[in-house]
Amino acid sequence: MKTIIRSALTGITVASIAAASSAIAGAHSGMPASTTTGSMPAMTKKTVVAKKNIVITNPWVRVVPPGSANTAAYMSIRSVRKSDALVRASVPRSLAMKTELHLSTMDPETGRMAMVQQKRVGIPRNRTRQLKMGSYHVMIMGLKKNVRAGTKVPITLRFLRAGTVRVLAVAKDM
Amino acid sequence: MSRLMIAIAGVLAGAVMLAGCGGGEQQQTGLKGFTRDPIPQVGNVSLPDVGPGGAGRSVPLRAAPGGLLVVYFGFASCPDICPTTLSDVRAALKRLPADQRTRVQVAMVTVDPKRDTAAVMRKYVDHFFDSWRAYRTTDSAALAKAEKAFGASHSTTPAKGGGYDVVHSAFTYVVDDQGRLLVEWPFAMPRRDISADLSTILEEGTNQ
Repeated sequence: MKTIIRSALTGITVASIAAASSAIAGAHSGMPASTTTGSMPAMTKKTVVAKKNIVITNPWVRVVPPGSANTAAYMSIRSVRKSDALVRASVPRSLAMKTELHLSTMDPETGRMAMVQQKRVGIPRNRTRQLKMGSYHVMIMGLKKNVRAGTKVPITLRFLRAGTVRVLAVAKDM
Repeated sequence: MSRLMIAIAGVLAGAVMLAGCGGGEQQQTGLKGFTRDPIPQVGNVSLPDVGPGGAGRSVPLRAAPGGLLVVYFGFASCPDICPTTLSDVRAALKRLPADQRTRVQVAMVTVDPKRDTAAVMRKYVDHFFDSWRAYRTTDSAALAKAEKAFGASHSTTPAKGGGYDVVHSAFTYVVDDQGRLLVEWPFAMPRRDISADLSTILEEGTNQ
């Protein structure tokens, strides 16, 4: 069964293949950079992955200097029709030791930044959760390889409802 | 949006800090970042610079004559806040005309010298900038003294599964050749504002 979902955030129409448990409905749509908003750096193209109720847009991973221990991945996650929660993220063992969900927070009194590991990142119904700089992110720890610009990092995300969703996060130096 | 919220939180935090210091001079300076009154003097603080210019010697945290030194306290294994800030500064520098850009040097001070060896620091800072210093000291008292001069701070907390996490202030500071801390930016300061502040200071001088 094929349904068309229109993402309110991006305005991109994506094909979501419902009830395709193992297959990933990955669609690469070559959208121009102009649709990104705010102070976020412009993306070169939009990547949208949809499965069941989950639509993921623009997964990317930060290029870090060679030899760096850690990096972070970011994306927009929208849950359509029902709420969901991201409960786990992982990358291949050949790339990094472990992967966790983190939230960067600022102590309003001291202005100090801390990262707190998250057991789950809630995705409210019909809302978009931004995994973004200075906020929620996928922390990729103990890198075994250098992440170079353009490298595609496979990230497996596990959602409470939608189950496993795989995305390819493009490495960007920005 | 939440990045903006953090910026706002930063503004509030800064406002509290400024109130505690007797009020800032935002209107008079025309700068987008925070200023303090009196202007802190940090030029008497020196730490070992393991970058190409310092080669491990103790170097004061002030700019070269006629230039500006952008100072950030962070650590290389920080995956989110530090690289975001350094990328923002890099992008802001690219917006400047070449004659201004070449007068700006960026210094990172590691708050995690245990993991950030001199080699790690060099590779890390060099990734982001053309002209840079990498300050690293294993003398925790010297680091604390430098942090205090800027109003920066950090602490470490044990991490689950071993190791430790670093909690740190995330301001970026601008120091002139007299060692005066002229302006500081909270995390997620827009790139255009970073650029504008550098330009304003370089164009007009400080006259303070």
